[in-house]
Amino acid sequence: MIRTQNHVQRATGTSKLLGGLAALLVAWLAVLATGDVASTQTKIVEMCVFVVLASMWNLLAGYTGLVSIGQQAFVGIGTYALVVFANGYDQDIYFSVLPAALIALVAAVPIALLAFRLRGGYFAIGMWVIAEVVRLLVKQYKADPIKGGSGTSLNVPVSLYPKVDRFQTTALIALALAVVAVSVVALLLRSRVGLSLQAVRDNEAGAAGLGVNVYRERFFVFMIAALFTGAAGAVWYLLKIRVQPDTAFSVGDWTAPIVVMVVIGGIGTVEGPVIGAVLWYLVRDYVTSSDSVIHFSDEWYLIYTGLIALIVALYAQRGLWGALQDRFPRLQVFPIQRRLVVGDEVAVRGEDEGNG
Amino acid sequence: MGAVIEVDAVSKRFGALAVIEELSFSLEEGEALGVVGPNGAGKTTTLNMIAGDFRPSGGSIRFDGQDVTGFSAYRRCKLGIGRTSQIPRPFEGLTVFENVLVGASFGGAHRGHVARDLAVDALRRTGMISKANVRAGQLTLLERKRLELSRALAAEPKVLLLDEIAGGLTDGEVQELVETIKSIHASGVSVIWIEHIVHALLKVVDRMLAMDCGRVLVQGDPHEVMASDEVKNVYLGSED
Repeated sequence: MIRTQNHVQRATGTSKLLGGLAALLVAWLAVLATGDVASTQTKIVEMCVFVVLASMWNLLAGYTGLVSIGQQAFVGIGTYALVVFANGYDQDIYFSVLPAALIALVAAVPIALLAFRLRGGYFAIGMWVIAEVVRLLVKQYKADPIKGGSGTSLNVPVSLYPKVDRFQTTALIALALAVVAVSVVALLLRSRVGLSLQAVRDNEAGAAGLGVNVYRERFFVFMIAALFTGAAGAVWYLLKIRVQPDTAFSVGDWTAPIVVMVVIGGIGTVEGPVIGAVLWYLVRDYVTSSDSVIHFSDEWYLIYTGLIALIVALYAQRGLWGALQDRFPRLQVFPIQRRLVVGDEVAVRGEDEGNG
Repeated sequence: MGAVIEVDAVSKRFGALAVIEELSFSLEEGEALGVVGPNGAGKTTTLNMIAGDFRPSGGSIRFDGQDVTGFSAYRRCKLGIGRTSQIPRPFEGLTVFENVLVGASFGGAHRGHVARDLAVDALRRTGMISKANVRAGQLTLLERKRLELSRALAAEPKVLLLDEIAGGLTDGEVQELVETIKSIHASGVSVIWIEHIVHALLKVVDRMLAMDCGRVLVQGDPHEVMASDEVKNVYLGSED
Protein backbone atom coordinates (compact mmCIF):
# COMPACT_ATOMS: atom_id res chain seq x y z
CA MET A 1 0.00 0.00 0.00
CA ILE A 2 1.44 3.33 -1.05
CA ARG A 3 0.87 6.18 1.42
CA THR A 4 0.88 9.57 -0.20
CA GLN A 5 0.69 12.90 1.60
CA ASN A 6 -2.59 14.78 1.79
CA HIS A 7 -2.40 17.69 -0.57
CA VAL A 8 -4.44 20.57 -1.84
CA GLN A 9 -5.08 21.10 -5.53
CA ARG A 10 -5.54 24.66 -6.78
CA ALA A 11 -5.39 25.21 -10.55
CA THR A 12 -7.62 23.13 -12.82
CA GLY A 13 -7.44 22.47 -16.54
CA THR A 14 -10.19 25.01 -17.19
CA SER A 15 -8.52 27.68 -15.09
CA LYS A 16 -5.24 27.19 -16.97
CA LEU A 17 -7.00 27.39 -20.35
CA LEU A 18 -9.15 30.41 -19.48
CA GLY A 19 -6.23 32.11 -17.73
CA GLY A 20 -4.20 31.70 -20.90
CA LEU A 21 -7.01 33.16 -22.99
CA ALA A 22 -7.26 36.13 -20.60
CA ALA A 23 -3.52 36.73 -20.99
CA LEU A 24 -3.92 36.69 -24.80
CA LEU A 25 -6.77 39.21 -24.53
CA VAL A 26 -4.61 41.53 -22.42
CA ALA A 27 -1.78 41.23 -24.97
CA TRP A 28 -4.20 42.12 -27.78
CA LEU A 29 -5.44 45.17 -25.84
CA ALA A 30 -1.81 46.21 -25.24
CA VAL A 31 -1.22 46.13 -29.01
CA LEU A 32 -4.35 48.25 -29.56
CA ALA A 33 -3.24 50.64 -26.81
CA THR A 34 0.07 51.30 -28.58
CA GLY A 35 -1.70 52.04 -31.87
CA ASP A 36 -2.71 55.51 -33.01
CA VAL A 37 -6.52 55.30 -32.96
CA ALA A 38 -7.54 57.76 -30.24
CA SER A 39 -11.12 56.42 -30.02
CA THR A 40 -9.86 52.88 -29.39
CA GLN A 41 -7.49 54.11 -26.71
CA THR A 42 -10.30 56.07 -25.09
CA LYS A 43 -12.40 52.91 -25.00
CA ILE A 44 -9.56 50.93 -23.46
CA VAL A 45 -9.06 53.54 -20.75
CA GLU A 46 -12.76 53.82 -19.91
CA MET A 47 -13.26 50.07 -19.87
CA CYS A 48 -10.14 49.36 -17.81
CA VAL A 49 -11.00 52.07 -15.28
CA PHE A 50 -14.43 50.52 -14.78
CA VAL A 51 -12.92 47.02 -14.52
CA VAL A 52 -10.78 48.35 -11.66
CA LEU A 53 -13.67 50.17 -9.98
CA ALA A 54 -16.04 47.21 -10.31
CA SER A 55 -13.45 44.72 -9.01
CA MET A 56 -12.78 46.89 -5.99
CA TRP A 57 -16.43 47.55 -5.23
CA ASN A 58 -17.06 43.82 -5.46
CA LEU A 59 -14.18 43.11 -3.08
CA LEU A 60 -15.92 45.38 -0.57
CA ALA A 61 -19.57 44.50 -1.11
CA GLY A 62 -19.23 40.96 -2.39
CA TYR A 63 -16.76 39.66 0.16
CA THR A 64 -16.95 41.75 3.31
CA GLY A 65 -20.53 43.02 3.14
CA LEU A 66 -19.38 46.65 2.95
CA VAL A 67 -21.94 47.99 0.50
CA SER A 68 -20.58 51.47 -0.13
CA ILE A 69 -22.49 54.07 -2.11
CA GLY A 70 -19.61 56.48 -1.59
CA GLN A 71 -16.70 55.06 -3.57
CA GLN A 72 -16.85 58.21 -5.72
CA ALA A 73 -15.16 59.87 -2.73
CA PHE A 74 -11.98 57.99 -3.60
CA VAL A 75 -12.35 58.59 -7.35
CA GLY A 76 -12.58 62.30 -6.57
CA ILE A 77 -9.78 62.32 -4.00
CA GLY A 78 -7.47 60.46 -6.43
CA THR A 79 -8.41 62.87 -9.20
CA TYR A 80 -7.83 66.02 -7.16
CA ALA A 81 -4.60 64.65 -5.70
CA LEU A 82 -3.45 64.17 -9.31
CA VAL A 83 -4.35 67.80 -10.06
CA VAL A 84 -2.45 69.00 -6.99
CA PHE A 85 0.69 67.02 -7.82
CA ALA A 86 0.64 67.71 -11.58
CA ASN A 87 -0.60 71.33 -11.66
CA GLY A 88 0.39 72.50 -8.19
CA TYR A 89 3.80 70.86 -7.89
CA ASP A 90 4.61 70.52 -11.61
CA GLN A 91 5.15 66.78 -11.37
CA ASP A 92 4.99 64.43 -14.35
CA ILE A 93 1.29 63.64 -14.87
CA TYR A 94 1.85 59.88 -15.23
CA PHE A 95 4.07 59.68 -12.19
CA SER A 96 1.49 61.69 -10.21
CA VAL A 97 -0.96 58.78 -10.40
CA LEU A 98 1.11 56.97 -7.77
CA PRO A 99 1.01 59.63 -5.02
CA ALA A 100 -2.64 60.31 -5.96
CA ALA A 101 -3.49 56.68 -5.19
CA LEU A 102 -1.54 56.86 -1.93
CA ILE A 103 -3.44 60.01 -0.91
CA ALA A 104 -6.72 58.14 -1.49
CA LEU A 105 -5.36 55.35 0.73
CA VAL A 106 -4.42 57.78 3.50
CA ALA A 107 -7.82 59.51 3.27
CA ALA A 108 -9.47 56.10 3.62
CA VAL A 109 -8.15 55.67 7.19
CA PRO A 110 -10.26 58.38 8.89
CA ILE A 111 -13.17 57.62 6.55
CA ALA A 112 -13.09 53.96 7.61
CA LEU A 113 -12.83 54.82 11.31
CA LEU A 114 -15.91 56.99 10.93
CA ALA A 115 -17.99 54.88 8.53
CA PHE A 116 -17.23 51.52 10.21
CA ARG A 117 -19.25 52.68 13.20
CA LEU A 118 -22.27 52.21 10.95
CA ARG A 119 -23.67 48.91 9.74
CA GLY A 120 -25.53 47.69 6.65
CA GLY A 121 -27.75 50.29 5.05
CA TYR A 122 -26.50 52.98 7.42
CA PHE A 123 -22.94 52.36 6.26
CA ALA A 124 -24.05 52.58 2.61
CA ILE A 125 -25.74 55.93 3.12
CA GLY A 126 -23.04 57.13 5.51
CA MET A 127 -20.42 56.59 2.80
CA TRP A 128 -22.55 58.57 0.35
CA VAL A 129 -22.80 61.41 2.85
CA ILE A 130 -19.02 61.36 3.38
CA ALA A 131 -18.46 61.55 -0.39
CA GLU A 132 -20.84 64.53 -0.59
CA VAL A 133 -19.04 66.27 2.27
CA VAL A 134 -15.68 65.84 0.52
CA ARG A 135 -17.20 67.16 -2.73
CA LEU A 136 -18.55 70.25 -0.97
CA LEU A 137 -15.23 70.85 0.78
CA VAL A 138 -13.39 70.68 -2.54
CA LYS A 139 -15.88 73.17 -4.01
CA GLN A 140 -15.09 75.58 -1.19
CA TYR A 141 -11.38 75.55 -2.03
CA LYS A 142 -11.38 78.34 -4.62
CA ALA A 143 -7.61 78.89 -4.83
CA ASP A 144 -5.15 77.27 -7.22
CA PRO A 145 -4.75 74.50 -8.22
CA ILE A 146 -8.26 73.26 -7.32
CA LYS A 147 -10.28 76.33 -8.32
CA GLY A 148 -13.49 75.43 -6.49
CA GLY A 149 -16.73 74.36 -8.12
CA SER A 150 -15.97 75.72 -11.59
CA GLY A 151 -13.19 73.15 -11.82
CA THR A 152 -9.87 73.12 -13.57
CA SER A 153 -7.92 71.31 -16.26
CA LEU A 154 -4.96 69.05 -15.91
CA ASN A 155 -1.95 70.93 -17.22
CA VAL A 156 -0.86 69.02 -20.34
CA PRO A 157 1.10 71.32 -22.66
CA VAL A 158 1.40 69.67 -26.09
CA SER A 159 5.13 70.30 -26.07
CA LEU A 160 5.51 68.03 -23.03
CA TYR A 161 2.62 65.65 -23.64
CA PRO A 162 1.80 65.27 -27.36
CA LYS A 163 -1.79 64.03 -27.69
CA VAL A 164 -1.00 60.77 -29.50
CA ASP A 165 1.67 60.01 -26.95
CA ARG A 166 -0.61 60.84 -24.01
CA PHE A 167 -3.43 58.63 -25.30
CA GLN A 168 -1.01 55.73 -25.82
CA THR A 169 0.62 56.08 -22.42
CA THR A 170 -2.70 56.49 -20.61
CA ALA A 171 -4.20 53.45 -22.34
CA LEU A 172 -1.17 51.37 -21.33
CA ILE A 173 -1.29 52.63 -17.74
CA ALA A 174 -5.04 51.91 -17.56
CA LEU A 175 -4.52 48.40 -18.92
CA ALA A 176 -1.67 47.76 -16.50
CA LEU A 177 -3.76 49.09 -13.61
CA ALA A 178 -6.64 46.79 -14.52
CA VAL A 179 -4.33 43.77 -14.76
CA VAL A 180 -2.70 44.59 -11.42
CA ALA A 181 -6.04 45.31 -9.71
CA VAL A 182 -7.69 42.09 -10.87
CA SER A 183 -4.54 40.11 -10.04
CA VAL A 184 -4.42 41.62 -6.57
CA VAL A 185 -8.05 40.65 -6.01
CA ALA A 186 -7.45 37.12 -7.31
CA LEU A 187 -4.21 36.62 -5.33
CA LEU A 188 -5.79 38.05 -2.21
CA LEU A 189 -8.75 35.69 -2.47
CA ARG A 190 -6.43 32.77 -3.15
CA SER A 191 -4.53 33.50 0.05
CA ARG A 192 -5.28 32.67 3.67
CA VAL A 193 -6.90 36.09 4.09
CA GLY A 194 -9.03 35.36 1.04
CA LEU A 195 -10.37 32.22 2.68
CA SER A 196 -11.60 34.30 5.60
CA LEU A 197 -13.04 36.95 3.24
CA GLN A 198 -15.11 34.28 1.53
CA ALA A 199 -16.19 33.01 4.94
CA VAL A 200 -17.26 36.52 5.96
CA ARG A 201 -19.13 36.84 2.65
CA ASP A 202 -21.12 33.68 3.39
CA ASN A 203 -21.72 34.07 7.12
CA GLU A 204 -20.23 36.87 9.17
CA ALA A 205 -21.17 35.53 12.61
CA GLY A 206 -19.96 32.06 11.63
CA ALA A 207 -16.60 33.47 10.55
CA ALA A 208 -16.17 35.44 13.78
CA GLY A 209 -17.05 32.30 15.75
CA LEU A 210 -14.18 30.48 14.04
CA GLY A 211 -11.57 33.07 14.92
CA VAL A 212 -11.80 35.51 12.01
CA ASN A 213 -11.25 39.15 13.00
CA VAL A 214 -13.96 40.58 10.76
CA TYR A 215 -13.21 44.24 11.59
CA ARG A 216 -9.54 43.93 10.68
CA GLU A 217 -10.30 42.12 7.41
CA ARG A 218 -12.82 44.82 6.47
CA PHE A 219 -10.40 47.60 7.26
CA PHE A 220 -7.68 45.98 5.16
CA VAL A 221 -9.98 45.45 2.19
CA PHE A 222 -11.33 49.01 2.46
CA MET A 223 -7.75 50.33 2.19
CA ILE A 224 -6.98 48.27 -0.91
CA ALA A 225 -10.22 49.40 -2.54
CA ALA A 226 -9.43 53.06 -1.77
CA LEU A 227 -5.92 52.76 -3.22
CA PHE A 228 -7.07 51.30 -6.53
CA THR A 229 -10.23 53.40 -6.77
CA GLY A 230 -8.11 56.55 -6.31
CA ALA A 231 -5.65 55.35 -8.96
CA ALA A 232 -8.50 54.59 -11.36
CA GLY A 233 -9.93 58.10 -10.91
CA ALA A 234 -6.53 59.66 -11.60
CA VAL A 235 -5.97 57.57 -14.73
CA TRP A 236 -9.41 58.52 -16.09
CA TYR A 237 -8.52 62.21 -15.88
CA LEU A 238 -5.12 61.73 -17.55
CA LEU A 239 -7.30 61.29 -20.62
CA LYS A 240 -10.29 63.53 -19.84
CA ILE A 241 -8.18 66.51 -18.61
CA ARG A 242 -11.17 68.61 -17.49
CA VAL A 243 -11.86 68.15 -13.76
CA GLN A 244 -14.90 69.38 -11.79
CA PRO A 245 -15.96 68.39 -8.27
CA ASP A 246 -19.53 67.67 -9.39
CA THR A 247 -18.38 65.05 -11.89
CA ALA A 248 -15.33 63.65 -10.05
CA PHE A 249 -17.46 63.06 -6.94
CA SER A 250 -20.64 62.08 -8.79
CA VAL A 251 -22.54 59.06 -7.48
CA GLY A 252 -24.37 58.75 -10.82
CA ASP A 253 -21.21 58.76 -12.92
CA TRP A 254 -19.27 56.32 -10.78
CA THR A 255 -20.86 54.25 -8.06
CA ALA A 256 -24.27 53.74 -9.72
CA PRO A 257 -22.89 52.11 -12.90
CA ILE A 258 -20.34 50.16 -10.82
CA VAL A 259 -23.11 48.58 -8.74
CA VAL A 260 -25.01 47.69 -11.93
CA MET A 261 -21.90 46.10 -13.49
CA VAL A 262 -21.04 44.05 -10.42
CA VAL A 263 -24.60 42.83 -9.84
CA ILE A 264 -25.10 41.81 -13.48
CA GLY A 265 -21.64 40.25 -13.79
CA GLY A 266 -21.83 38.33 -10.54
CA ILE A 267 -21.20 39.71 -7.06
CA GLY A 268 -18.88 37.73 -4.84
CA THR A 269 -16.88 36.24 -7.70
CA VAL A 270 -13.57 37.51 -9.12
CA GLU A 271 -14.56 37.07 -12.74
CA GLY A 272 -18.09 38.51 -12.50
CA PRO A 273 -17.26 42.20 -12.06
CA VAL A 274 -14.69 42.09 -14.87
CA ILE A 275 -17.20 40.52 -17.23
CA GLY A 276 -19.93 42.87 -15.99
CA ALA A 277 -17.79 45.95 -16.58
CA VAL A 278 -16.61 44.87 -20.05
CA LEU A 279 -20.09 43.82 -21.14
CA TRP A 280 -21.74 46.93 -19.73
CA TYR A 281 -19.21 49.09 -21.48
CA LEU A 282 -19.31 47.31 -24.85
CA VAL A 283 -23.13 47.29 -24.99
CA ARG A 284 -23.27 50.94 -23.98
CA ASP A 285 -20.72 51.79 -26.62
CA TYR A 286 -22.94 50.11 -29.21
CA VAL A 287 -26.37 51.43 -28.19
CA THR A 288 -25.27 55.02 -27.61
CA SER A 289 -23.56 55.39 -30.99
CA SER A 290 -25.83 57.17 -33.47
CA ASP A 291 -25.58 54.57 -36.26
CA SER A 292 -26.69 51.55 -34.20
CA VAL A 293 -30.00 49.79 -34.87
CA ILE A 294 -31.16 50.07 -31.25
CA HIS A 295 -30.31 53.50 -29.94
CA PHE A 296 -30.56 54.88 -26.39
CA SER A 297 -29.22 57.93 -24.68
CA ASP A 298 -26.72 57.44 -21.83
CA GLU A 299 -29.46 58.11 -19.29
CA TRP A 300 -31.83 55.53 -20.74
CA TYR A 301 -29.00 53.01 -20.92
CA LEU A 302 -28.37 53.41 -17.18
CA ILE A 303 -32.11 53.10 -16.50
CA TYR A 304 -32.42 49.90 -18.55
CA THR A 305 -29.28 48.28 -17.14
CA GLY A 306 -30.41 49.31 -13.67
CA LEU A 307 -33.65 47.44 -14.26
CA ILE A 308 -31.74 44.39 -15.46
CA ALA A 309 -29.56 44.57 -12.34
CA LEU A 310 -32.69 44.71 -10.20
CA ILE A 311 -34.06 41.58 -11.86
CA VAL A 312 -30.72 39.81 -11.48
CA ALA A 313 -30.55 40.80 -7.81
CA LEU A 314 -34.02 39.35 -7.28
CA TYR A 315 -33.83 36.15 -9.30
CA ALA A 316 -30.19 35.30 -10.04
CA GLN A 317 -28.21 36.67 -7.16
CA ARG A 318 -24.86 35.37 -8.29
CA GLY A 319 -25.21 37.15 -11.63
CA LEU A 320 -24.05 36.07 -15.04
CA TRP A 321 -20.86 34.39 -13.90
CA GLY A 322 -22.59 32.72 -10.97
CA ALA A 323 -25.26 31.32 -13.29
CA LEU A 324 -22.56 29.98 -15.61
CA GLN A 325 -20.72 28.42 -12.67
CA ASP A 326 -23.92 26.75 -11.50
CA ARG A 327 -24.20 25.10 -14.91
CA PHE A 328 -20.50 24.34 -15.26
CA PRO A 329 -19.15 23.85 -11.73
CA ARG A 330 -15.54 23.56 -12.81
CA LEU A 331 -15.63 26.88 -14.66
CA GLN A 332 -13.08 29.34 -13.26
CA VAL A 333 -10.46 31.69 -14.61
CA PHE A 334 -8.72 32.34 -11.31
CA PRO A 335 -8.03 29.19 -9.30
CA ILE A 336 -9.21 30.28 -5.87
CA GLN A 337 -10.78 27.12 -4.55
CA ARG A 338 -8.91 24.40 -2.70
CA ARG A 339 -9.56 20.81 -3.63
CA LEU A 340 -8.46 18.37 -0.98
CA VAL A 341 -6.79 15.19 -2.17
CA VAL A 342 -6.58 12.82 0.77
CA GLY A 343 -3.39 10.81 0.55
CA ASP A 344 -4.20 7.50 2.22
CA GLU A 345 -7.73 7.35 0.84
CA VAL A 346 -6.23 7.02 -2.61
CA ALA A 347 -4.11 4.20 -1.24
CA VAL A 348 -7.14 2.45 0.29
CA ARG A 349 -8.91 2.58 -3.04
CA GLY A 350 -5.82 0.99 -4.62
CA GLU A 351 -6.04 -1.84 -2.09
CA ASP A 352 -9.70 -2.46 -2.87
CA GLU A 353 -8.91 -2.77 -6.55
CA GLY A 354 -6.22 -5.28 -5.68
CA ASN A 355 -8.71 -7.43 -3.78
CA GLY A 356 -11.33 -7.23 -6.50
CA MET B 1 -8.45 20.45 38.24
CA GLY B 2 -9.96 23.93 38.20
CA ALA B 3 -12.92 25.45 36.48
CA VAL B 4 -12.36 26.16 32.80
CA ILE B 5 -15.49 28.26 32.41
CA GLU B 6 -16.93 30.36 35.23
CA VAL B 7 -20.19 32.19 34.67
CA ASP B 8 -20.51 34.64 37.55
CA ALA B 9 -23.81 36.46 38.28
CA VAL B 10 -24.43 37.04 34.57
CA SER B 11 -27.56 38.92 33.50
CA LYS B 12 -28.85 39.70 30.05
CA ARG B 13 -31.63 42.12 29.24
CA PHE B 14 -33.01 42.86 25.81
CA GLY B 15 -34.71 46.19 26.43
CA ALA B 16 -37.14 45.65 29.29
CA LEU B 17 -37.04 41.86 28.90
CA ALA B 18 -34.73 40.13 31.35
CA VAL B 19 -33.67 36.86 29.70
CA ILE B 20 -30.93 35.88 32.15
CA GLU B 21 -30.90 36.92 35.80
CA GLU B 22 -27.83 36.59 38.02
CA LEU B 23 -26.88 33.25 36.48
CA SER B 24 -23.86 31.51 37.99
CA PHE B 25 -22.37 28.12 37.18
CA SER B 26 -19.04 26.65 36.20
CA LEU B 27 -17.56 23.97 34.01
CA GLU B 28 -14.67 21.91 35.34
CA GLU B 29 -11.77 21.03 33.11
CA GLY B 30 -12.49 17.82 31.20
CA GLU B 31 -16.13 17.83 32.26
CA ALA B 32 -19.18 17.38 30.04
CA LEU B 33 -22.11 19.46 31.23
CA GLY B 34 -25.61 19.00 29.86
CA VAL B 35 -28.05 21.91 29.90
CA VAL B 36 -31.80 21.35 29.72
CA GLY B 37 -34.77 23.61 30.17
CA PRO B 38 -37.96 24.69 28.42
CA ASN B 39 -37.92 27.01 25.41
CA GLY B 40 -37.15 30.56 26.48
CA ALA B 41 -35.21 29.46 29.56
CA GLY B 42 -32.17 31.38 28.26
CA LYS B 43 -29.98 28.41 27.33
CA THR B 44 -28.90 29.66 23.89
CA THR B 45 -28.49 33.21 25.21
CA THR B 46 -26.11 31.86 27.87
CA LEU B 47 -24.12 29.93 25.29
CA ASN B 48 -23.96 32.96 23.01
CA MET B 49 -22.58 35.05 25.86
CA ILE B 50 -19.91 32.46 26.64
CA ALA B 51 -18.98 32.36 22.94
CA GLY B 52 -18.94 36.15 22.74
CA ASP B 53 -21.75 36.75 20.25
CA PHE B 54 -22.95 39.46 22.58
CA ARG B 55 -22.01 40.82 25.96
CA PRO B 56 -23.86 40.33 29.23
CA SER B 57 -25.72 43.28 30.75
CA GLY B 58 -24.10 42.42 34.05
CA GLY B 59 -21.76 39.89 35.65
CA SER B 60 -18.61 38.31 34.28
CA ILE B 61 -17.41 35.28 32.34
CA ARG B 62 -14.00 33.74 32.96
CA PHE B 63 -12.17 31.28 30.78
CA ASP B 64 -9.18 29.49 32.29
CA GLY B 65 -9.16 32.07 35.08
CA GLN B 66 -9.03 35.00 32.63
CA ASP B 67 -11.90 37.50 32.49
CA VAL B 68 -13.15 37.33 28.88
CA THR B 69 -16.39 39.29 29.40
CA GLY B 70 -15.28 42.11 27.09
CA PHE B 71 -13.65 39.89 24.45
CA SER B 72 -15.23 39.59 21.00
CA ALA B 73 -16.16 36.21 19.53
CA TYR B 74 -13.04 35.79 17.38
CA ARG B 75 -10.70 36.31 20.35
CA ARG B 76 -12.58 33.79 22.47
CA CYS B 77 -12.34 31.27 19.65
CA LYS B 78 -8.59 31.82 19.43
CA LEU B 79 -8.33 31.33 23.21
CA GLY B 80 -10.04 27.95 22.93
CA ILE B 81 -13.81 28.39 23.12
CA GLY B 82 -15.35 26.51 20.21
CA ARG B 83 -19.04 26.40 19.44
CA THR B 84 -21.63 24.97 17.16
CA SER B 85 -24.73 26.93 16.32
CA GLN B 86 -28.32 25.78 16.75
CA ILE B 87 -29.02 26.87 13.19
CA PRO B 88 -25.89 25.79 11.28
CA ARG B 89 -24.02 28.68 9.71
CA PRO B 90 -21.99 27.07 6.94
CA PHE B 91 -20.00 29.09 4.41
CA GLU B 92 -22.17 27.90 1.55
CA GLY B 93 -19.94 29.05 -1.29
CA LEU B 94 -16.94 27.20 0.13
CA THR B 95 -16.31 23.47 0.12
CA VAL B 96 -16.55 21.42 3.31
CA PHE B 97 -12.76 21.26 3.48
CA GLU B 98 -12.45 25.04 3.05
CA ASN B 99 -15.06 25.57 5.78
CA VAL B 100 -13.04 23.49 8.19
CA LEU B 101 -9.80 25.12 7.05
CA VAL B 102 -11.19 28.48 8.24
CA GLY B 103 -11.37 27.07 11.77
CA ALA B 104 -7.86 25.61 11.56
CA SER B 105 -6.34 28.74 10.00
CA PHE B 106 -7.91 31.41 12.18
CA GLY B 107 -9.24 29.82 15.35
CA GLY B 108 -6.25 27.49 15.46
CA ALA B 109 -3.94 30.13 13.92
CA HIS B 110 -2.10 27.60 11.80
CA ARG B 111 -0.74 27.86 8.28
CA GLY B 112 0.04 25.66 5.31
CA HIS B 113 0.23 21.92 5.83
CA VAL B 114 -0.33 22.15 9.60
CA ALA B 115 -3.71 23.82 9.05
CA ARG B 116 -4.51 21.37 6.27
CA ASP B 117 -3.72 18.30 8.35
CA LEU B 118 -5.66 19.69 11.29
CA ALA B 119 -8.66 20.18 8.99
CA VAL B 120 -8.29 16.66 7.59
CA ASP B 121 -8.15 15.27 11.11
CA ALA B 122 -11.29 17.19 12.15
CA LEU B 123 -13.07 15.94 9.02
CA ARG B 124 -12.14 12.34 9.86
CA ARG B 125 -13.23 12.61 13.48
CA THR B 126 -16.66 13.86 12.44
CA GLY B 127 -17.09 11.48 9.52
CA MET B 128 -17.08 14.26 6.94
CA ILE B 129 -13.90 13.36 5.05
CA SER B 130 -15.80 11.83 2.12
CA LYS B 131 -17.64 15.15 1.65
CA ALA B 132 -14.45 17.25 1.74
CA ASN B 133 -14.83 18.71 -1.75
CA VAL B 134 -18.60 19.20 -1.71
CA ARG B 135 -19.89 22.76 -1.53
CA ALA B 136 -21.33 23.35 1.94
CA GLY B 137 -24.51 24.75 0.39
CA GLN B 138 -25.35 21.28 -0.90
CA LEU B 139 -25.21 19.46 2.44
CA THR B 140 -28.10 17.76 4.27
CA LEU B 141 -29.07 18.82 7.80
CA LEU B 142 -27.04 16.06 9.47
CA GLU B 143 -24.02 16.94 7.34
CA ARG B 144 -24.43 20.62 8.19
CA LYS B 145 -24.45 19.75 11.88
CA ARG B 146 -21.39 17.57 11.46
CA LEU B 147 -19.71 20.40 9.57
CA GLU B 148 -20.40 22.75 12.50
CA LEU B 149 -18.71 20.26 14.79
CA SER B 150 -15.85 19.67 12.37
CA ARG B 151 -15.09 23.39 11.98
CA ALA B 152 -15.20 23.97 15.71
CA LEU B 153 -12.83 21.04 16.30
CA ALA B 154 -10.34 22.28 13.72
CA ALA B 155 -9.97 25.45 15.80
CA GLU B 156 -8.54 23.22 18.58
CA PRO B 157 -10.97 24.15 21.35
CA LYS B 158 -10.42 23.47 25.04
CA VAL B 159 -14.14 23.94 25.54
CA LEU B 160 -16.81 23.02 23.04
CA LEU B 161 -20.25 24.62 23.27
CA LEU B 162 -22.92 22.57 21.52
CA ASP B 163 -26.30 24.17 20.87
CA GLU B 164 -29.00 21.59 20.09
CA ILE B 165 -26.73 19.78 17.71
CA ALA B 166 -28.99 16.70 17.74
CA GLY B 167 -32.20 18.64 17.10
CA GLY B 168 -34.07 17.66 13.94
CA LEU B 169 -32.11 14.44 13.38
CA THR B 170 -33.43 10.86 13.20
CA ASP B 171 -32.70 8.42 16.05
CA GLY B 172 -29.97 6.70 14.05
CA GLU B 173 -28.35 10.01 13.23
CA VAL B 174 -28.51 11.11 16.88
CA GLN B 175 -26.80 7.85 17.86
CA GLU B 176 -23.96 8.50 15.40
CA LEU B 177 -23.55 12.04 16.65
CA VAL B 178 -23.49 10.87 20.27
CA GLU B 179 -20.60 8.54 19.48
CA THR B 180 -18.69 11.39 17.80
CA ILE B 181 -19.24 13.75 20.73
CA LYS B 182 -18.24 11.01 23.19
CA SER B 183 -14.94 10.54 21.40
CA ILE B 184 -14.31 14.30 21.30
CA HIS B 185 -14.97 14.49 25.03
CA ALA B 186 -12.76 11.46 25.64
CA SER B 187 -9.90 13.28 23.89
CA GLY B 188 -9.93 15.84 26.72
CA VAL B 189 -12.23 18.58 25.41
CA SER B 190 -14.61 20.05 27.99
CA VAL B 191 -18.18 20.23 26.72
CA ILE B 192 -21.31 22.26 27.44
CA TRP B 193 -24.18 20.70 25.56
CA ILE B 194 -27.66 22.23 25.32
CA GLU B 195 -30.14 19.64 24.13
CA HIS B 196 -33.82 18.74 24.21
CA ILE B 197 -33.12 15.11 23.36
CA VAL B 198 -32.42 14.01 26.92
CA HIS B 199 -31.49 10.37 26.22
CA ALA B 200 -28.68 11.61 23.98
CA LEU B 201 -27.41 13.91 26.71
CA LEU B 202 -27.51 11.15 29.32
CA LYS B 203 -25.11 9.06 27.23
CA VAL B 204 -22.45 11.76 27.29
CA VAL B 205 -22.67 14.22 30.16
CA ASP B 206 -21.13 13.97 33.64
CA ARG B 207 -23.37 16.62 35.17
CA MET B 208 -26.72 18.13 34.27
CA LEU B 209 -27.94 21.68 34.74
CA ALA B 210 -31.61 22.54 34.38
CA MET B 211 -32.54 26.15 33.60
CA ASP B 212 -35.81 28.03 33.74
CA CYS B 213 -36.56 31.74 33.33
CA GLY B 214 -32.89 32.67 33.11
CA ARG B 215 -31.93 30.95 36.37
CA VAL B 216 -30.39 27.67 37.46
CA LEU B 217 -33.27 25.46 38.57
CA VAL B 218 -31.25 22.48 39.74
CA GLN B 219 -27.90 20.90 38.91
CA GLY B 220 -26.03 17.70 39.74
CA ASP B 221 -26.08 14.04 38.73
CA PRO B 222 -27.78 13.81 35.32
CA HIS B 223 -30.29 11.10 36.26
CA GLU B 224 -31.16 12.69 39.60
CA VAL B 225 -31.68 16.08 37.95
CA MET B 226 -33.99 14.62 35.35
CA ALA B 227 -35.95 12.77 38.07
CA SER B 228 -36.20 15.81 40.34
CA ASP B 229 -39.54 17.45 41.13
CA GLU B 230 -38.29 20.85 39.95
CA VAL B 231 -37.57 19.55 36.45
CA LYS B 232 -40.81 17.56 36.32
CA ASN B 233 -42.79 20.65 37.32
CA VAL B 234 -41.18 22.78 34.64
CA TYR B 235 -41.78 20.26 31.89
CA LEU B 236 -45.13 18.81 32.96
CA GLY B 237 -46.60 21.57 35.11
CA SER B 238 -46.98 21.23 38.90
CA GLU B 239 -49.91 19.50 40.53
CA ASP B 240 -50.63 22.21 43.07
